[in-house]
Amino acid sequence: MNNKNPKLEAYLTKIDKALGSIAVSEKAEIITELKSHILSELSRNPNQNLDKTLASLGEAEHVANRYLLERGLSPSKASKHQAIKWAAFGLVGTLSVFAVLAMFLFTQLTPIIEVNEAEGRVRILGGLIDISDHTSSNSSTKKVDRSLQEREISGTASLSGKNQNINIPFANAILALNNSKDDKLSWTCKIEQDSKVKNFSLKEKNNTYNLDMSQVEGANCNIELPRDMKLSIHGSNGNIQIQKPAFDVDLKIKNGQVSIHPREDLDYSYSLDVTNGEVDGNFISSTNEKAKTIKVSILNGQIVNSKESD
Amino acid sequence: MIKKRKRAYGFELLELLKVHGLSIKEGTLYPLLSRLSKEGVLSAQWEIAPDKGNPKKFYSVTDEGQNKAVQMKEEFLKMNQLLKELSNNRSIKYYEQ
Repeated sequence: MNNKNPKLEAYLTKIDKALGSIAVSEKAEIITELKSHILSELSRNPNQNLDKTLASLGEAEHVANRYLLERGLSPSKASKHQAIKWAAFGLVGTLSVFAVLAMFLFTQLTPIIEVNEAEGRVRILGGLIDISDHTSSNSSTKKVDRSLQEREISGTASLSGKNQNINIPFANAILALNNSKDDKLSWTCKIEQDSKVKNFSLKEKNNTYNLDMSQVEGANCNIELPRDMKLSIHGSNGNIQIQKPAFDVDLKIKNGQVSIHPREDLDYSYSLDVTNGEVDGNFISSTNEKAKTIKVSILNGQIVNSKESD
Repeated sequence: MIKKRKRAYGFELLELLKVHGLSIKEGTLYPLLSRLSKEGVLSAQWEIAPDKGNPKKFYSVTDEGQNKAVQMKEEFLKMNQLLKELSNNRSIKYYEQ
């Protein structure tokens, strides 16, 4: 063992510094004795390496503190270097935990939106919300065939006068909006067998009809609307199909897909907005005063021109 | 142990203590030897063996140290006796100072 081993010298220098107020001559004796011990240990046991010998002796600051305590002196405080080292370890550890958590959430919640037209399914936030044509479910964990557990409810109403307003609030639903053949408002829905709702209530107030579907989860409805109505429809999660509308639409949902099939013989004025997602297809707005207004706003989802995709 | 050998250095003492089943860390023994030297219980002398370069600090017990050792031995024996009596549930014997 070279007597000038840098690691050994660094260790002894640390002890020397940590010995603080002890007289220089005493410090020199302490350092010489410790060095002699380490070299004796290494020459006695050739298999023992320097790191093990130093570890056996203890941290330089601890060894120095024992000398100070034996003399009734205050031990030196942990060096700033040590404090910074542990603070850095803590910070890196905390950041690592956050990074792993962020990566986990990213992998679990991506893609933000995935539309599978073949399966008639919209998956949002990596499947956290799963809207399917077949199951009417908003959860990917529900794989049960619900066709046997559903019942049908329907209703019809003759609306007096033209240019009436119709509001349809809903929670989670698959809705097909079509033109009525007899100028009546009608609806046919499949809902869960055990749902407490007997039928949807239709209430009229100030020329506005309110068809409340907000108490039903996962309704699958076909709704027929009279011409020239002003339809206002809003909900949380939905898959809405608007078929050749001869009525105005003001539609607002948080998550889902809206497909629009315009009529060739009618003009439309579009206002389409998707915050997270896309508008797929061309929607040409007309300046015709008589153009039907189609206003759609989605937070997470997609608007599709289903005429183009046919 | 130092008294018995007349003199001993730290590394040697550690080995001896280990043999007798008293395993003391070197980080504890050296500061203790340093204090006892400072108090005058031990005297220390540096020596360099002609064949090896490592200087060794040999400790020997001073007269003062010998007196203290006798006192401490007496104290230990008294304490030992007291503990024995306590553990045997006998009446406590008070020793005159």
